[in-house]
Amino acid sequence: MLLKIEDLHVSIKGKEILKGFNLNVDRGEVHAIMGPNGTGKSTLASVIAGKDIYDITRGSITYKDKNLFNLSVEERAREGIFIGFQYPVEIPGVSIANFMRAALNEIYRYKGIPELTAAQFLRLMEEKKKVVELTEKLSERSVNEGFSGGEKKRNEIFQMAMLDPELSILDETDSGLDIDALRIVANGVNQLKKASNATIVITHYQRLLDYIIPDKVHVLYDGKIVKSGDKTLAIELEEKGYEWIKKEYEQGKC
Amino acid sequence: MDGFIQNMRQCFEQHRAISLTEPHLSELHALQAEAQQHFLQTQPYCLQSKKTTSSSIEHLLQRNYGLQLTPCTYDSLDSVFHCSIENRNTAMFVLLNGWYLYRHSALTIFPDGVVAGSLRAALKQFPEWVLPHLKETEYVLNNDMVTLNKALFYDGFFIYVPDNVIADSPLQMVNLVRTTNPLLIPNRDIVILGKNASLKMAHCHDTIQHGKTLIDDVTHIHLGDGASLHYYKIENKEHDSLLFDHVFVEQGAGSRLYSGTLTFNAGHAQNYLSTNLRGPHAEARLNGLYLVDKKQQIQNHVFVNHIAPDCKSHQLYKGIADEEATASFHGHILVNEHATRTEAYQSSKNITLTNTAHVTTQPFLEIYTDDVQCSHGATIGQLNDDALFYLRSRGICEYHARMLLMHAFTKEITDTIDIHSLRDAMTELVEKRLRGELQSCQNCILCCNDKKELPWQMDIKI
Ligand SMILES: Nc1ncnc2c1ncn2[C@@H]1O[C@H](COP(=O)(O)OP(=O)(O)O)[C@@H](O)[C@H]1O
Ligand SMILES: [Mg+2]
Repeated sequence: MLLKIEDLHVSIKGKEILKGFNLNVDRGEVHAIMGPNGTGKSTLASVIAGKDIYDITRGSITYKDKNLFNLSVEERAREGIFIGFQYPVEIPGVSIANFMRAALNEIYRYKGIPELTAAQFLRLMEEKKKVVELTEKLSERSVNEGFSGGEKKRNEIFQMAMLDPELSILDETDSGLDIDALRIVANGVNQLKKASNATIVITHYQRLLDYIIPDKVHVLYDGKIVKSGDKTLAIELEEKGYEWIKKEYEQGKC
Repeated sequence: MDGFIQNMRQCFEQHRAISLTEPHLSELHALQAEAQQHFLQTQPYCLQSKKTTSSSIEHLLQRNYGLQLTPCTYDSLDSVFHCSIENRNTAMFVLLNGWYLYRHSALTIFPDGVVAGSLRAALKQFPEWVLPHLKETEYVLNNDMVTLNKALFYDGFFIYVPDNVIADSPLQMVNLVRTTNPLLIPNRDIVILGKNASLKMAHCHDTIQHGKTLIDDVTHIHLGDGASLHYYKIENKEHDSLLFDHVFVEQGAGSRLYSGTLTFNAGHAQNYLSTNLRGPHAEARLNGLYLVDKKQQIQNHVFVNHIAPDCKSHQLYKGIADEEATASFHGHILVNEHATRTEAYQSSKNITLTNTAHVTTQPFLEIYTDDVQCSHGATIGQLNDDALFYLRSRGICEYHARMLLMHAFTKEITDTIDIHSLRDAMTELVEKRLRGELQSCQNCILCCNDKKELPWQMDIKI
């Protein structure tokens, strides 16, 4: 098992967000996590990334047989975890090229692989730009600065392509995209799919799942997964709306 | 403070010894005698003005400074100093302990008519031309260090660019200090650009041998109508040095001044930069960058005087203060009654890395006409946590993530340096400085002899 989350309870400022979350992800799989706004989808992604503003009150996350909580933010990334953030940060003055060079160098050093030369690095960057149809000169563009919502999301997938992660968690990578951008992003994700890696797609709408076909679909509600199924669950959800889930959940609870 | 005054009294006496050797400079000596009187009669203002500051430099003043009474020789320089910025396109001039070091002659006259060299020599050769510029230093800014300079200077740089001459190679002026005894170095520099003349220059304060020094530098710059000057000041002094640097600029109509004041290490440094925009459509872009740590103290004082209409000024000063360093920015914009359609902007951005580092910023806008566009802004903050997290989430360790953000912060200033070799050298220096690898060293900072491979390349050029 690549990722195993058991009975995860997370709160922020005394408010419990995740209330017994469970998930198993294997290599080669694509999972979709769906759910209404404010149910804790981004919280889950941030906890896996290692953001330290949360209180983890119970449960465990095991990644590649390691206790994830023992790894620092950068170690998690070097171990192959990649988060495509819902709201990527703008960093004026840091070029995308420098950013990726620094990241790759540190990841390679961690893994004991020789670092790329400048020429090799540039070649890699040109190759990976094609994955999301980027054409700009990335040595001159600051990370996310002045990017539209769509450009930011494309840039996240570009970074994913560069870093070649084992586990990618894409948080609402589809939101704010027009249909062309959505196709480009989805196409990029599909190209990066391998038997040795896994992807968790977090989304609010079923739309993205027309392009990225999930092996499993989970519905997150009230801090835990209330329903799991195959891709038909996403379609059913689209037809019946989240009200259906809410109603079913409330009934089951009573 | 009495000790310091007593010490200066002795310096004035020593200075007379220098004066006596050159009787043809009697008019200058009269000027200096008057300034000496003035200094002794007034309370040192800048030393008492800010309580915190004056108390923290008091020990630096109680040192019994002496003057270097005789010029140094060039031979001694080659063995200790090599500058990497200097290349076949850059002409370098050196003052050692305040005296001009000449290789061939004290004044170099280039084929295009540009004159560069020793102020003392220029005064000897063209007294009627240079002397008026030496008189003009009034007892400005209530700053006694300027008075002290007037009372004691014996040499400095002189640069003249004739009308319509575009000096195609940059000039580099280096103030070097090499001493084991406490030394007071009062340099006076004059830069004159004729109408539509253009020059790029760097002026460095540096040290090749550790010594306790008080540097008191005054530079007068005259820009004729339509002239353009890029003026970069680079300061890298050791922790117990005291540096007062004053630059007074007069700008004619349509002239442009681009200045960059970069402070890498400073024991205690006070930079004063003032410009009078006298002719319409003159423009001043004044940038500054400081990187201080330990107990270093840096003050930047900027005064922009909008006298004529239709002038523009931009100030951008940025800095990072670490450990227990103190930094302050005082930016004064004065828009006079007749200076209509003025555009004057000021921005000061600061990062403090510890809660013991101290930054203050003081904008002061004095505006006597309605028809102006003015703005000022100041920020003092830490590195952006969200940006740090984002960088780390891609595998970059916290240390390097901080480096990247600091590098990005400084780049806005280093990118504006318009002399290529200087920009590259400064970018590299900033990186070294941020990594803690650049100390105020015994060699010139600009040497960068040891081209050792950095473990991680900060900037890739494509
Ligand atoms: N920094 C924060 N401080 C306080 N509450 C937060 C913070 N971040 C998220 N929350 C709360 O946590 C809940 C889950 O948010 P989030 O994980 O962003 O949901 P989703 O991504 O599913 O829309 C929301 O109720 C939100 O208000
Ligand atoms: Mg979210």
